[in-house]
Amino acid sequence: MMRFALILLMLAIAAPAAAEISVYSPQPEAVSVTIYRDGFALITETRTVELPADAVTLVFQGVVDLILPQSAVVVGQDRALAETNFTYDPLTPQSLVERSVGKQVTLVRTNRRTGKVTRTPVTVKSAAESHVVFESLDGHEALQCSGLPERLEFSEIPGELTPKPVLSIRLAAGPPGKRTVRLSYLTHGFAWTANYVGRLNERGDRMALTGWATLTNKSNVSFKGAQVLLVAGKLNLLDESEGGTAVYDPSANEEQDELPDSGSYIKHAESVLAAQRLVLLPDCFSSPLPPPPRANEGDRMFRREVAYDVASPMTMLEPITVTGNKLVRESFADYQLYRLPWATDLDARQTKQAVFLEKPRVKVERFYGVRLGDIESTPGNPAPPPDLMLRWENKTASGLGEPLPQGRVRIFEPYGGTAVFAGEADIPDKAVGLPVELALARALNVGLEFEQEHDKDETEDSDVFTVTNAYHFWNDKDVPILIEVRHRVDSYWGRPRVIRSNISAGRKYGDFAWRFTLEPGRDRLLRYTLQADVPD
Amino acid sequence: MRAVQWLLLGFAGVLQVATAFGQSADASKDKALSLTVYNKDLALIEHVRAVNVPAGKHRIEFKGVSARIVPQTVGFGGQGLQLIEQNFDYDLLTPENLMEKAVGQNVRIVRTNPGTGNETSETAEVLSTQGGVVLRIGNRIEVLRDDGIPARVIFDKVPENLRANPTLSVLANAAKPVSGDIKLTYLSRGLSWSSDYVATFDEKAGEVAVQGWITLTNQSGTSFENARVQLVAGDINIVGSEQEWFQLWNQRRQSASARRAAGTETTTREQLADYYVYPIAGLTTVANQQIKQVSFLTAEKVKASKGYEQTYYGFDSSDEPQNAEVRVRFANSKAAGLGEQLPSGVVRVYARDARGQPQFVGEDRIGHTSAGSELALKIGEAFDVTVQPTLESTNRISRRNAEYSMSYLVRNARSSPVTVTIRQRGLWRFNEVTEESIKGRRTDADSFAWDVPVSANGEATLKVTIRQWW
Repeated sequence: MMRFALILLMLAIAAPAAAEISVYSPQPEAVSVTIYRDGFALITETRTVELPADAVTLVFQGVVDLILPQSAVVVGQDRALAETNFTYDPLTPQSLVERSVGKQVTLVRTNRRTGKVTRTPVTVKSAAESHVVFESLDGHEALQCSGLPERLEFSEIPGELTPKPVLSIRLAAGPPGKRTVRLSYLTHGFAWTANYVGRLNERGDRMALTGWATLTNKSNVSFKGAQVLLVAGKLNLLDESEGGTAVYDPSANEEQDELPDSGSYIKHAESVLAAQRLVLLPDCFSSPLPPPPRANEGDRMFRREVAYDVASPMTMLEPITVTGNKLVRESFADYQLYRLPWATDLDARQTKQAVFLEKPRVKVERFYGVRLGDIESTPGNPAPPPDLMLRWENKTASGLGEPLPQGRVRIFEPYGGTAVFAGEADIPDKAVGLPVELALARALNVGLEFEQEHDKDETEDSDVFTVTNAYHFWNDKDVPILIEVRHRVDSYWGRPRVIRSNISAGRKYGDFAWRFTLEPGRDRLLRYTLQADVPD
Repeated sequence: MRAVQWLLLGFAGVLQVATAFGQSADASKDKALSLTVYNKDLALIEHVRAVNVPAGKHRIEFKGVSARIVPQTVGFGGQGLQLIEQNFDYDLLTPENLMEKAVGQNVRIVRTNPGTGNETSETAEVLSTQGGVVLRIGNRIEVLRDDGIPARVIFDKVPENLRANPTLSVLANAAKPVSGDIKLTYLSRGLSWSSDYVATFDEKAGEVAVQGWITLTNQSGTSFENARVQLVAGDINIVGSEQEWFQLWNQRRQSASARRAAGTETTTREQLADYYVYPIAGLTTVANQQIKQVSFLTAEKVKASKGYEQTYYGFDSSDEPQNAEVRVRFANSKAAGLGEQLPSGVVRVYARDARGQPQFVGEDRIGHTSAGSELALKIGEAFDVTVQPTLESTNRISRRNAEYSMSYLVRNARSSPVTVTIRQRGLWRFNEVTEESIKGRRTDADSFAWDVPVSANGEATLKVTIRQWW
């Protein structure tokens, strides 16, 4: 049933009457904040308003200033909606004088010697290029060019300037009365991440896994008694510059800012100078810019450093509000949705943590891995020790079987009655049923020597390539270890095959693979010959 | 060149008519104002203003025109008025320009004695402003504020051609007294519009509700009051920067991926040459720095379905299972409940959570979509549906002939069965499927597709062998 409405017929009715009524809704009665991993949130507010019978402009106050206005949707007003307007002409020292051109303001001068203050009515003639020219009874002068302490005083803020963004809708005339409307919009300035702490048992075959969600409100709006939800999943997002929701990453486009589009360095220099002069009034009380998001690497270094001597996941993070509530998972579309079971206050510039996963006995396998990426690859010369790998199955039978949203996993293992940090790795989203394999660290006390021979071809123009790899492993630990060697062959090569091997070869994810155990204090040689057809 | 952008201040729409050299004769507001806004940072603006002048030469100043006017595009029309010249003045009233224009003239210097706080006033002639202001006071020559002592400079008058804002004016001749309307048209930057769609998808019912919004953005530096507004859809050619071009190209490419079949149905939408026009009925005010949204489309219960897809361009193994793309498919046709010209824009898709509250699930761009087209919006990647490709074997049959055996392990952690379409693309010139565990189909010269059904909480494997040569 399709209704194609050029609503603008309604607009004709509501045609800009000079004295149109405005109804203000200062704050929502109920609010829900759905936070996505990609730096934004969906805010859904319930507001009750009293509508008069006439055409009316309904003004929603207290929306987040990082709103994406094109995403705003209002329902429940039970009236024809003429238009939605979003106006944010921010009040700044610059915009204040610009909009005061032609208006009368007061010039205040203080005599440095006598302290005498004189107030003179003046008219602002121009605010072009960051300089103010005004006219008084004396004649025309330029502000702050004389060396005298002088400033302008304004008796009012020009009407169109607003300290806060304003979202409003214009509604046609209709039956009066109370309405409960739902306003929803997307806004930047929110994010959440998943972090995991895994504690291995003494034997290293079971792990207690805890998942923490860390959510941040970087906006300047506080939400009281909010319903908080988190969405885990990869949404298709378009670039902000194309009208999409993805957050613009300034670091990605740094080069573009180097040269102005005119291509002239002199003009660029001028514009930089102009920008520096921009401050017209003392900026001592201007609000500071929000702190830049922490760089991942720095963050990681910091955490890693602290984490070494700390056993609790709590103490290695910045001051954070920890809620006692465990997040509840709900099935939702093709993503995972986590809901804080009780309403909470989500204050401006606040970070909160909540547990979304607790599994005390996850079955894990620990092994040491070496992996070669193509037929001629080597582990390096000299060969580094193998990687310490941790593997588990995300299955109920293995003590898990819960969706694992992407995040960083930090593994601790017991050592002399305390927990030591064994390493960390990032996992992508892992649905139930999938295996998880992490490279945590380089092995200690496990040695490797590697040698590769390219077998001589029998004839000059042979189309067969042959390589022999020899790995000599030794185990200086006091426990038996499991070793896994994988060797991938690119689809460029024809019919890759193992023609000789002292340990029988298997396959893993398309790679040739060898697995064997090594007892404490023992060493072992793996030697195999791989052959493939050379393409033309 | 001054940074014109900067000076863009809003004003009341006032037309000032000055007879020959500057005496004000008449002032007036817009009698009618119309804005035709194109998608990308461009608008055609037309002001109609009343004029009432005696015979003779007149300088007519237009205030309240867009501050981002493209002066080369100004057109002027008025009965009985003959255009002599047209000026766009952007010599701005700044302290620097003021002093420069005062060279050779007298200003007053008021000094404040730092010791006593007393003021003394002198008349000075400005000799030069280059690298510092050189003044002649009586028979002394000195540099302004060389001693750091506070000194006010007072200018008795401001040269007429220095303005707070760039100003458009025309010099026109009236053979006899004129009383009527004049029309001013020009192109302006700073006005754009885009379409935004909200699609609420109900998977169970197999329906999507689509709302279309036109989002008009005014960053022209000027407010337009009581204007007749129309929006034009279609890509008009504008010579722009390479960067703009690339962006446009990118958008078109993305849009093309969302459109699955072009349409041929016609609509009643107003057409202007090769563009579609969306007029906003009535008059509306478009304030500076405002984003205005007007609904232009509401369609309930449009038939829709959801599908999972994964496309592969080569033959490779992956350690990590890959999340399948989720697409919402619907037809922009009358039969399916829609069937409209949809201007290019971003579609934001919502789905309801367990409590019935709509939640955002992803977005995709559609191109200018004619009625009858089929759309498949990519909204995201399924958390619980994954595909893991493994290259099982490769075989070179001859110099120009090779065979690849792939297995695709499709896992479904959802509690309902799904079907995942796996596409193999980017094949060589000649290709054929020699073995397949599920019957597939050729989708075009270099691609095949297989629909793999997977049971709830289950997994399935597709095995295919493709031979290709050239």
